[in-house]
Amino acid sequence: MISAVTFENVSQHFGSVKAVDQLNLQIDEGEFFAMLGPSGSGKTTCLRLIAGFQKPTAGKISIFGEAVQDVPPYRRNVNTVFQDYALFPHLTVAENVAYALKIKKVNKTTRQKESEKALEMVRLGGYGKRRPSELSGGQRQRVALARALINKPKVLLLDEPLGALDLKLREEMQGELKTLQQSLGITFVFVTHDQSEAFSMADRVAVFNEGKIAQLGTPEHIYHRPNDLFVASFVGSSNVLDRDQLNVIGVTGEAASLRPEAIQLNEGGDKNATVISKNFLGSSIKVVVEMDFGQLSALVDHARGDSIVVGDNVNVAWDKEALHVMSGTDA
Amino acid sequence: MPNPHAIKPAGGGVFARLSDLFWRRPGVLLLTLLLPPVLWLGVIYIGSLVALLAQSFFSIDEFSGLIKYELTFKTYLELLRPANLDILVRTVSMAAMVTLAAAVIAFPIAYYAARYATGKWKVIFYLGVMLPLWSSYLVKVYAWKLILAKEGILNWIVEKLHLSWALDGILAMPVIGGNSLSVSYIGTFLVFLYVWLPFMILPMQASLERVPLSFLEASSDLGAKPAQTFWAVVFPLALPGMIAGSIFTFSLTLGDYIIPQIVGSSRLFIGQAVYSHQGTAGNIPLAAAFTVVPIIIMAFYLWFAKRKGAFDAI
Repeated sequence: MISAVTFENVSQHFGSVKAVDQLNLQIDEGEFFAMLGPSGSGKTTCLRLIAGFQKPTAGKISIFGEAVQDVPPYRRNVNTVFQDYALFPHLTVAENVAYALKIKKVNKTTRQKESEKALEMVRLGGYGKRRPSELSGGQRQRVALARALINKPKVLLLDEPLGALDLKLREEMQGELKTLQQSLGITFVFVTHDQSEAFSMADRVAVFNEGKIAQLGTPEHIYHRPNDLFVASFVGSSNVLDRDQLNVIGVTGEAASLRPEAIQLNEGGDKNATVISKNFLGSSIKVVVEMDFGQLSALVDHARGDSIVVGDNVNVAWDKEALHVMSGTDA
Repeated sequence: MPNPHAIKPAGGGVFARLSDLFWRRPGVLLLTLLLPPVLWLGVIYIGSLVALLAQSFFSIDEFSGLIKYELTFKTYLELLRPANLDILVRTVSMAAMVTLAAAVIAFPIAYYAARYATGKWKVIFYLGVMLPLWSSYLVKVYAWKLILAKEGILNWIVEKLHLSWALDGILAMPVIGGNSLSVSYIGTFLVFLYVWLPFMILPMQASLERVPLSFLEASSDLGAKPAQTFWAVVFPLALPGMIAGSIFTFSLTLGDYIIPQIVGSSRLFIGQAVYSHQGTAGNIPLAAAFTVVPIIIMAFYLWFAKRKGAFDAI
């Protein structure tokens, strides 16, 4: 099977900064792929390399098997939803959406029909005559999406598409994007620094760190089996234990992660820890306990957590498999 | 019991009391700020302009040379006499050519400054554009007269390059040619272009500053080649700046009477006509009628630009 996007030893250097460093990557056709990482980790640069806004310093990039590193953006069958949406202020919403068709010299009636259809797809039917400035942030985001999809691209790139939206709208759009991707069957590649966004939408996630991919896999795999300390700490607020701490509990290894929700409080056994803080998070309660080797944070439900008071002595335990010993140690 | 520390004591002095007054009544502050410019612009400037324009509806008695204070369109009819009509056509064509050329030359400069220049290069850009405005306008025009003269440096360079035949060919052309560049319309055009160019570059650069790189990328991403991106995105967004610049270059050329007097053929432009009619000839009604022409042309130009959507991006 031909993969949608392939990176072979791709590097992008800006002076002495290695934004992307000797990167290899395969994105499959029809998958929802997330590039996750902190700012400056090279994820946005990778997206721009696929779009063609930048030329790699070295390496080979192919889209559906065709080498594209010397192909300008306007000849790539790839479209982008920009972080700032980049809607043209001098055009109406319908003209923005139909921009790619106008460039292809499609006649006006078809253009109007297609743009209305694309707007209906993102639930903005009837908004065509307005100006982008008259729309809310969420609506502009949908217009940008409709504009990028009107050409039926082979790959759709999304650069922090939900970054500017408020929490409720963001969650709503996450669901919509996922549904849209499944119904269209187009390969979606999106960049985000928000792990919950990446996990809730993507089939596979690549975690970026310093121009390289620290780990690539399904959300479940990355969450439960982080490769190294960087991934463990970036992906959610995991407890990370170093070698000395592991020694205390009789485990050998360089480092290990322990998910807060895998920790059991007062399921029986000796009182081996002291509660030092308790935070109400809504659906669950976060309890930080002090043990003989250090602090751990635990997420517990109300049945367990409601009765716990700061200063209590409690029993702390976890299943053996929950403690994930990692190979890599670089943070 | 009121807490004595909840409110700071009122400051003494006139300014402290004024600050309090302005805070309580923002309208008073606005009035204080606006009154002087409104008086200056509204009453003194516009008022005297209207008074001048009103003169254009009077006429001059051909025998006594005195102004007859009766409303008439006679003076405007006089504008249509071939000699006067020539002046209008000459001036308007010159202004149009200067504006067009200024837009073409200014665009790459403004585009470079807006898109690529940063830090030191931006300072150099502003200095380069503004520096000519610091020296006297008359000095620049006379300098150009020397540059364009038959004995001037431009002629010398052309000779050294063995291109005299080309220059002679251009100067031999009817209407725009002449004995030398300094006494031809081409010379007048070059000087106008040089003197007004900053007024085109600056507003154009300001409007291009507001076109983010992502617009160009989005256009390219959607399949537009660079030329298509230029006409579909960059040009329409630069248009308001271009119009603003063209208002300067066009109206300044329409009203100028010094450049065509120093560099060019001796044929009159509107500004020179106004100058001579209100001065030596004492025909203030005709001078006023000449003045009305650029105003009407500019009003029509702006109306047309607005209708064509030139200001939609603002």
